This record gives sequence, structure tokens and C-alpha cells, in this order.
Amino acid sequence: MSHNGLPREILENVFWLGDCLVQRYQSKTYHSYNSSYLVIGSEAALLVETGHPKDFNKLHEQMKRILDDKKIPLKYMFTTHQETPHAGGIARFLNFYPDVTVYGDVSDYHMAFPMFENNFSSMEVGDKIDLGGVELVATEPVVRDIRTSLWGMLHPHKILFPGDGFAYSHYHYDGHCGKLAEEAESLDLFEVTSVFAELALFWTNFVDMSVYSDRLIQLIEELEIKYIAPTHGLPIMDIKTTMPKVIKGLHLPYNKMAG
Amino acid sequence: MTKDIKSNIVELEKDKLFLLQNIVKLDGRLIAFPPNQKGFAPLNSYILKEETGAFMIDTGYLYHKDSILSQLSNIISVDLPLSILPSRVNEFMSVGNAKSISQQFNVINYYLAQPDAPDWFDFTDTERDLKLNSIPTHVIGRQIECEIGYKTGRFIEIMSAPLRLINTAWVYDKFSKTLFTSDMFTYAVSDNENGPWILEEDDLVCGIQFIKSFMLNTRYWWLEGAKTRVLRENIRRIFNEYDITTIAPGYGKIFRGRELVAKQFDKLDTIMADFDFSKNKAQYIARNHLR
Repeated sequence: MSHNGLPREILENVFWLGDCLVQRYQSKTYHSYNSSYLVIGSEAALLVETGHPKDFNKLHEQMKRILDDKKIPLKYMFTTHQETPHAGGIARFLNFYPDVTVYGDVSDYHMAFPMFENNFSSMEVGDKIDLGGVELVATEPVVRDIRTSLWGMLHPHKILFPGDGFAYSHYHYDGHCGKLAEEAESLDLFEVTSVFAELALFWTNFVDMSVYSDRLIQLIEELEIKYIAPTHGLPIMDIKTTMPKVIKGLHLPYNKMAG
Repeated sequence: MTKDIKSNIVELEKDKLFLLQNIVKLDGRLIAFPPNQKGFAPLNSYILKEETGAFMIDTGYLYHKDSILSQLSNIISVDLPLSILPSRVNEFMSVGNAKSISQQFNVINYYLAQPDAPDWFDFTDTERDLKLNSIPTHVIGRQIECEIGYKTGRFIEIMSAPLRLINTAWVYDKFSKTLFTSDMFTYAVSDNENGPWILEEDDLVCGIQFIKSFMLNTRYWWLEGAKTRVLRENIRRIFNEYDITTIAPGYGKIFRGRELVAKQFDKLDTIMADFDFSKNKAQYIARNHLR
């Protein structure tokens, strides 16, 4: 395990990988993750998100150790959208794993990675990737920052991969790196979610987010989601306790702007 | 199939400002355009040039690497000091060739919303080119000024875009009176693969309804029912503060002429006013909901 606490098995055969990105705002230092998640099925492994370009070597090393241990081949990657902190690792992984298929909404990738055009396969909401005993189902992206976003949900784990949804930073100085949301006791989820939204999800400053958070809550209920594995936030293992704080933080930028 | 139709170099100001265009056929697979948009569009990069240095805005998709490198070498020598600004640091269209250009030209600076620029664009090869880390990155923040070349007195202003989805920079070049608007004013596409790509009078296609639909079906699905007053004020402040005779977007046609520029700002203001929460109730917009 590295200094940032990863990799970490958050559910059986679901591994949290990645590294922190340091960001400064109003003289405060925040850490946020650009996480990936490695899912191991009986036939194949799947990498959800390909990580920030700066993290590739660390991410690859974390992944290789797990794949070697499990003796399951990496066959699939799934990206939630086309921004570089989510999809920036595609070409670097495909250089090492040329037979891997990249799933998701694959718009732009033929232009971004033309040498791998044949590795991309388009998904829509409801489409599935079968890993053997485990399936990733493409899911409606409620909070997004690119029109082509897609979220994923893992069966039977009922864990949601919401990309930029549930995005918030954490306090490195309080030892939050590598912790689950519920373990980071001093983390003010309301504060860090609102700061992240204000800075990275510009549109949330101007939109009454209740229409989006209502749909989010509905989706979580419809899909019977039990866990949430965001790309930038710490994984959420107790939705009932943690989600309300995140949603409250998501509303703050608009409420501030509205006075 | 998104197909490379042709590439063009347009000298917008003699020896001083160049537009590098790579024309694509729209087939629903580019995130910057509505999925149902047909026709052709230029993807634009810009070179602001002086005898002692040059400044490049956006580097294009990797798909256009050979074309962009060739276009660039037609405009500047490999030893001319060059600065690079990817106007949308998180998007492949902006950063795709930053690495190749840095390796083949004399890149001396990056301008970015984030520090350590190569961390954001060095992602195509098996190993990173760590030599690029020695090139300094200037963090843009809200607004910074930058001189093109050395002691030329030609300054540009790089600013955070007043209306954006993700981190986006706009640039104003006082010399050419050009506002580079990245992902805004990008709606002018063409049915014809030969353009024209520079508009000097209003295009009937670019009416308010078309622009509204273009915005809602691309980056601005969230605008209808949003509080737009502050956004409108910030956009209007830029129009009032700068003398603009050319709008140069990151993709789509260029708008030239003071009157045409004013019309585009007026249209945007009208649209933003129409979208305001005082006239529309905010609604949840699902993926692929076209309007």
C-alpha cells in the first residue's frame, strides 16, 4: 500500500486504485482523487476509469499486482466520460493491453486515440459488460459535466460508479487519503462538496440543484444502490448517512449565488 | 465516420495572426456538437506571431497531428520561442498535440488553469517525456496578461471564460481586436465541405432558435431555468470592455466585422435572458434529451 492508502479492496473483488491530486483554493490545500476501480470477475477484469495522466505508472503498478495475484486477465475498460482525468490513461493502458475493449460513450476517442480506433465499443443506458458472475450495467448519468457522460453500476454488488457525481476533496493533513467517506471522521462533506462543485462543476453555481438531487435520490432507490464509488470523492459505504451531506454541499454554490 | 476533409491555413492578420483549420464531417461522434448535427465544421487552432515569439491557442486532436505539425511549420520556424494555451485543459480537442508540438518546436511556456501542464497532456506513449516538465506553466487564475514575443509590446489577456461548462479560457488580442472564445460562439457549421469558414455577414442559419438548440444539445443543457443574470453581466462586461472585431471560436466559423460581432453578443444575451429562471422553471435534463 502506498502513502495514499491505495490500492484498497472496498468490496470483494472491487479494488479502489489511484492517487491524490493536490489543489489549492482560498489559501487552503485540498486533496482529491482521480480514482479508478478494478473489478475482478471469474472470466475477466474490468477497469472503471483510466485515471489522470499523471497517475498512470502508479495506477498500472497497483493494477498489475492485483491481476497477477488473481490470475484474471484485464479485458475491459469503462470510462464515465471524455475528460482527461477520467479517460487520459486510455492510450497508455492500450499500449500495454492492446486486446482490451474500451466501453462507454466513446464519442471523441477515435479522434483522441486514432491508433486504437478499433478498441472502442459504444454503450447506452442499460447495456452490460459480463465479467463472469459480475456485470457492469451502463446507467443514467444524473450529475455530469460532459453531455456524453455515462455512469456504471455493478451487479450483484449494487455499487454505483458515478464519475463526476459525488465529487469532493478530502483533507490530506487529517489522514483522509485512502479512507472511505465514513472513516474520514473530521471530513466536512458539506464544505468539500460545495468547494468542488463551485470550482469544477461551474453550472451548479447557477442551477437549482434540487431537480438533479431529486432525480439522483430516485435513481439510487430505483437501482437499489448500496454503495457509491465516485472518481473524485472517497467511496461511500453508508448511503443513508453520507449522501444527504453530499447533496447539501451540491446545493450550496447555487444558494450562495442566489444570496 | 468523422472524416478529415481538408486543412486550411488562414492568415487573419498579415504575419501576425493565423488560423489553422482542420475540417471534419459531423456524424454525431464529437462531444462538441449536437449528436444530431449534420454538415461540416472546422476545428480551429490559432497562432499569434511576432518576430521574437509566438503563441498557440489549442493544439487539436491527435487525429490531426500530422496536419497540425505541418501547418505550424509553415508559419513558424522550429526555433522560434512558442507558448501554448490549451483553452480547455480537460478536453482532447485542446490538448491532443501539445506533446508533439513541444517535442518538435521551441516551446518555452504553457498557460493553463492548473500547474504542471505536461501532467495534463502527456498520455499517448508507453512512457512519459519527462523533459517537458522543465517547461514552465503559468497558471491562469481569473485573468493574466502575456506578451507575445520579447519586448514587442503586443499583449494578450487570458481570462477565465464567463460562460463555461468546464475550466475554459478566453483570450483577447488587442492588436488584432480578436476575442478567442474556445467553446462559445461555436454554432456556425456548414452544409458544404468547402465552407465558407469566415462569416462577414449574418448567417441565416444561425438564428436564435438554432443557437439555443445548439447550446442546449451540447454543453449547456443546464441553462434553461438557470439564474443567468450574473452570467449575462460577465459576458456583457467583456463585450463592453474590449474592442472586438473578430470572434475566433475553438471550432466552427469565424465571425468578422464589428457589426457581426455585436449581433452574436446580442443573440447570446437574448438567449440567456430567455433561459433565465424568471421565464423557465429548471427541469431535470437526462442524457440524450434533445431540444
